[in-house]
Amino acid sequence: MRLFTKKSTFIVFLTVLILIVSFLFISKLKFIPLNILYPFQYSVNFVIGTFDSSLKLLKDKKELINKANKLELENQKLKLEIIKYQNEIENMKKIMPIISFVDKYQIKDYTIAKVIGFSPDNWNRFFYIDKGKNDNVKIGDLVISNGYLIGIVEVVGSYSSEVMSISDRNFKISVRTRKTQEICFFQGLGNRKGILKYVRPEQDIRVGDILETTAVNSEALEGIPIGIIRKIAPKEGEFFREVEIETFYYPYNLNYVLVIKR
Amino acid sequence: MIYCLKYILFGLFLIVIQSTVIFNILGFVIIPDIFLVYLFWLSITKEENILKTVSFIGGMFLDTLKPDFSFINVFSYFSIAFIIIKFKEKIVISNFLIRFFLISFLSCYLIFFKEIEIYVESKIISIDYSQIVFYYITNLAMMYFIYYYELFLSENYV
Repeated sequence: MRLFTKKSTFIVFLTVLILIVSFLFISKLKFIPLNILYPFQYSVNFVIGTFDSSLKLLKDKKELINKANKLELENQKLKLEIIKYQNEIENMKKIMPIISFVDKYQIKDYTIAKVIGFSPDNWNRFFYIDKGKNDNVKIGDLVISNGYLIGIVEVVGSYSSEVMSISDRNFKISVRTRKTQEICFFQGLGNRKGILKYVRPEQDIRVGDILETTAVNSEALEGIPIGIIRKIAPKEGEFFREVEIETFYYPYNLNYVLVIKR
Repeated sequence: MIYCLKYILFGLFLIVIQSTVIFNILGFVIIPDIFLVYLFWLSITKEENILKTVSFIGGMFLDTLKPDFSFINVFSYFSIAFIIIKFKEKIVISNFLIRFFLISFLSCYLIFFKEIEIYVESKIISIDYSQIVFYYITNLAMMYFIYYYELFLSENYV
């Protein structure tokens, strides 16, 4: 009984001691269970998370592919738009000289046309433009490129027209020299060439002078350059002089032209 | 007529190709006369009547494309068809030199007619030698190519 009493007293004492110690140090020992729990909790959470995201990924895969395809399509469309606008800018750059020419000469009735073809043989020098009767183009309208006269509309279709270039040997127009204002008669002479006909010996014609259109005997707009005088030679046995002209018509860089309506 | 319709349409298609901007974009100095080369090909492979019909209609189409209507293309291409028919045997059988002269003659014949036409219309004699030389060389090269290509095909695949 005594022993029991002692033993029970010891247990009580120990219990009280543990309680006191726990009470005093419990707040400082709280991290221990946390540290013990953490790896388990983390592992379980990680496994669940991975499993969950894997499931989600599998579920959204189709949707993601669809989204990616849609974005790719959008990307291609945007690239196409960029190319389209770049082409527009290029075309605008080509049209700008025409617009400045229109401003300079204060032309009111005009249209901008694109060259769509050339004469199928090498002896006739005419070309086709994409404007015709529907755009009010008429026979005799002047065709201008880069500020120079390059031809006159000869045949008009509903949607296109045929233009005789100034290099064609059937092209004839009255012109004047820019410096000396002498009136002459111009005729085409093949590739980038022309001649002045019926030039009298007393007429002041100079090499390097520019030829331009005149309103004399024609309905042409005045002062549009045609070509430059390259050679003057007296024709043996003839009264008139022979004058060679280099025209400004060059078919290889023709793209957009200005059609001035009469 | 219906039998040779496809040859006529193809001939007209070649003329349309000649009148597009293709050769200018490619930077050709002259426009190659592919219609003439086509007539040459017809002469060595097809019947004479097809050649005559195609040359006549093609010439007519070329004339309508000009601002002033003259029958110069009808006349020159139609007569060239007769010349080819006349010398067809010689072109096929004879040696390289005679063939060269005959093919050259075809180009020169057309050049002569075109220059005459220009002179009659404009009263100016101005011969563009570079244009004539390039035209002649291109025709010669294309006709020789067609001739040997046809020969190669007939020897190997017929």
